[in-house]
Amino acid sequence: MNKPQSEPSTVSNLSNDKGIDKIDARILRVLQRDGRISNLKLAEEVHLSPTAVLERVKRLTRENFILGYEARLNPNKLGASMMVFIEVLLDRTAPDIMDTFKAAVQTRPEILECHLVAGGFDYLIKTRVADMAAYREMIASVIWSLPGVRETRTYTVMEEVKTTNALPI
Amino acid sequence: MPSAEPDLREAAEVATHPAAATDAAGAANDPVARARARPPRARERMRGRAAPAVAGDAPSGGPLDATDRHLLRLLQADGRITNLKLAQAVGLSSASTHERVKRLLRDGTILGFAARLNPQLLQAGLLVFAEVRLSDMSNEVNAAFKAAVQLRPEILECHEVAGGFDYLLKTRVAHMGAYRDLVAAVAWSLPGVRDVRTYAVMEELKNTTALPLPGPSSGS
Repeated sequence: MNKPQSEPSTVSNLSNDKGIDKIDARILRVLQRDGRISNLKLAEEVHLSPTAVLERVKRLTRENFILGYEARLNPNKLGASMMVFIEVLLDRTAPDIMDTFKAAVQTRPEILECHLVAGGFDYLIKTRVADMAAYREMIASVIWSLPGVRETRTYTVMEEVKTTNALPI
Repeated sequence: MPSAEPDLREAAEVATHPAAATDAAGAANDPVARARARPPRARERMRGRAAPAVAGDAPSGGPLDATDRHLLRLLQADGRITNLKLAQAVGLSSASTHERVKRLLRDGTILGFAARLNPQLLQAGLLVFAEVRLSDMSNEVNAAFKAAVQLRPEILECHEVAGGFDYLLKTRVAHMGAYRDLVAAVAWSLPGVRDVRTYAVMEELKNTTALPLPGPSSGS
């Protein structure tokens, strides 16, 4: 590798507009793939000394590039093998209705994501459930019971062609 | 001391399942009682609808018990938690905690560990969903589309759905121009794509990767 071998990056040697240099980017890529990698192995992968790598990881954490670490679990083993998306249309996007909606989606762990979108509907919701019965129970108790919900459209995932949480770096 | 958050969930489980409550209470300070406290049938009852949908998905070592789920919740929240802290939180010895985590990795319940990065600081602050319809669902067109999707790191997810369109894409990009380039490269360059509808996210109300862990507290 023709990368510089040491000198912890400072503000002055930033090599791109993300605020991180190429070594930082490599460290982040590795940590996205293996969040529990030892510092020693990480140092080997990015061709730096363990001390320098540790310092960089600390800085990336301190500066909020790294938000945390998580185990990735297998939905098929945890009663969450069915993925369903829901599009929700509201009667009107009044602040009180939106606040109620926001609070309601936080209460259910089956709702992994909920986004306010610009386009043909108001909310896009991603859920993981065991089966259709569980999905129906969830949507009835969380979504249909809310005031202001005009219409919901359900899209069942037949095949997860690609699923990753890794950001493009 | 066990950490507060998982305990609340355990408490909720106990509250809704009186039969399990006595077991859990008795097991709290006694490893032997804890081992006896959760016979397989009780576990099944506690999991309720969350029983594996596919027979092949059943864990080789039997269903997960409450301690397994507790471990999984902790590891979802902090993938780098030390074994010692895990052991303290679930009230087991370091050795048996380590053994359980190893088993959960071996049987594929834990797929891996990952750092969670900040999209706002990494030129991926704009979340855009796209609904894609293909002009024909022939194998060639589908295969070409699926292959194109794998190549682009900005496409975090792609799902083939049943409903009004064929694929739902979740993308993260720096700005709308980058999204446009992405769509041009992935969709418009392919012969079989009929139309792409774009939905830019204005607000992420909720965004987690943590799976709902089976337990009565999440099912009622």
